[in-house]
Amino acid sequence: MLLWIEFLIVTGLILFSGSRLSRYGDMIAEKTGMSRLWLGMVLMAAVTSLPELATGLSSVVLAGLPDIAVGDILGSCVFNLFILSIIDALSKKKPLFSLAHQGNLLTAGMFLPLISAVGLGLFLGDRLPSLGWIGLYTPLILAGYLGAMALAFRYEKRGSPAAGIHEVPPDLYRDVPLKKAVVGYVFNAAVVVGAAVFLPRIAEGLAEITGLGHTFVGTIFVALSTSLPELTVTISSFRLGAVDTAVGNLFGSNLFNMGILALDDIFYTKGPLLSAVEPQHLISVFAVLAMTGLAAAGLIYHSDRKRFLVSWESWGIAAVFVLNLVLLFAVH
Amino acid sequence: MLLWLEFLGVSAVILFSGSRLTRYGDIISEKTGLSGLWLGLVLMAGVTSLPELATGLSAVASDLPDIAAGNVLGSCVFNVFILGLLDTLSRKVPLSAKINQANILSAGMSILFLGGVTLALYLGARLPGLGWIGLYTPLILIGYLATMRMAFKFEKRRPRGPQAREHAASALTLRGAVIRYALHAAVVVGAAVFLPSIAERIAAATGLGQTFVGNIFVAITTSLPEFTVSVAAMRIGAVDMAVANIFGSNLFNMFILAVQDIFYLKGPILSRVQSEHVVPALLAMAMTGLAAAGLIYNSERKRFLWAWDSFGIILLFLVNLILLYMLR
Repeated sequence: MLLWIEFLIVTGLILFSGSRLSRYGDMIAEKTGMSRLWLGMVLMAAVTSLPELATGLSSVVLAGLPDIAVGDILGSCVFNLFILSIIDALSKKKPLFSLAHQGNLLTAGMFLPLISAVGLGLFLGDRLPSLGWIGLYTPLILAGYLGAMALAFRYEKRGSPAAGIHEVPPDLYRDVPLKKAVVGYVFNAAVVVGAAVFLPRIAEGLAEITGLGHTFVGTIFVALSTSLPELTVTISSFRLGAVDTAVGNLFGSNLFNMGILALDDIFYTKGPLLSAVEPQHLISVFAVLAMTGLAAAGLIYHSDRKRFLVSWESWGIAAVFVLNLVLLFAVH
Repeated sequence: MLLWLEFLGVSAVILFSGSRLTRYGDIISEKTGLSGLWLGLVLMAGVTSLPELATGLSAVASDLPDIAAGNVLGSCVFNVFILGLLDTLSRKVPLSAKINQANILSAGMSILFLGGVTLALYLGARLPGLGWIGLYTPLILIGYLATMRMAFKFEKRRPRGPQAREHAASALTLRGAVIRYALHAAVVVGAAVFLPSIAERIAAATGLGQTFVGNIFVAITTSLPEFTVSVAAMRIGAVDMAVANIFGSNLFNMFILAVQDIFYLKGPILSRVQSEHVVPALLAMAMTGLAAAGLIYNSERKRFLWAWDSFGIILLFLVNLILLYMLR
């Protein structure tokens, strides 16, 4: 019981400070004149993924819980894609996928080779040669992540209207001084990191008392908790009419999650991270692949109609989300 | 030695008649007035995948599920590899034709299906079956039909520009085209029927195993028509058609997998094959993702293109080859 309360408190802190964090991040970006792409794809995604980063590093370094670290990342990817269906349901007249720019597919497409590399690492395990305690996939994922960022930057510079450059009014926070924004940012970042550090231990306890196992708890509970900032930020961007910032944040977050996985592997010194975890994580990898494919098809198809609340692609994504939950429970 | 000669003979027949087949298919659809997308996505992909279908059914009938599954998955990998080759080919010639991003629709849907296939491969017997049919098979069939319907609606909603297609042989009558079409189809099916047993013997003689031989040798042979058709489409400037054919073929491969499962009576096919097939499935998805990103990135401007996407695709193809060899 106490554990659940602890879990709720940590989740509440992450939710509160994580959402604040991205607001202050937004202010800083505006005041220092960074472009909105870097906001949506790099800065915002990195900021909303700070809980994942802190939780991941604390799992592998302090707690020695690789399954919770990997589960958190993969579950977070699954959850981010599910958020797409949630905002589709919030979209009043037209389906979300018909409002978002197809430029978002660049990040979605670049994400697929990286998550496939994770799948290969999980599937092959020890059969894959390693570089000391680091998996062969880790430098590849890092290179792929940086390459994707460079591409996105060039794509943006070329003048593609991706990631909502023209959507948000430029002077949203005119009355706030930069200093105040920086202080608020640092304070909330500290709170998020502080809270996230406790999460793996709590999750370990929960896994024990519920008998659900590290993989399930990491992929569902921890991932849900660390993805709440993405949820609030995406919803508030969407409410502001910044559809591409919202969608860009989700795909960017997934890309960033791959970067976190690589970092986790580097800091996990007992061996390649993906050889140390349970193979059940493959289920989430496959679910993420299927959901990303569906989202990509939806972004191209631009359905002009919703059926019962959301469009077909959102129904599909939600169905895969539920399937993932059921399968992870079935194999726990 | 004789075995390899047989293999080369069958490959040559499939290459020759398979390419002819698509030419006559093209003429038939032109004469009967079918639209461009249906040509590329359904008809052409269906036609160029006839060797895959015939080989798959013959493999299933000879109780060689690894060759059947390897054929389908290896073909998906090889098809995207063709895209990488085409992309490199097109770089030399300044292309006026834009590749339609609509192709990502079928690419995305094929990733969805491949994701389901990998899930089924991984779960194997832990996934409940419907008699001898896997749970995934009806889902794939329904999904395939829904995708075709979607592609049709999509096409109707946003018509494409005029397609640069010319036919040297369009003087042929419809009847003549149909007869030639049927003839070459029969030759392709006839040749493809022998492929699995040849592959089985190659697998045994070389010690490479059925998964490797199915994924590499059989898949490449059955994908040769896609290769020639795509190159030919490129040459006449129908880049869109070439790309649509490739992604459409991959979608059709999923359909073939479902059909194979129905005809494989010993149990759900994906529970009966080696789990190593996860490797080509994952790489096919990675390559498709890269191709989609490339299509988006390329779309606005064509000059100053470093061929990062095709380079990545070719690299991943080699990774697939190496990993399958490692796991043989």
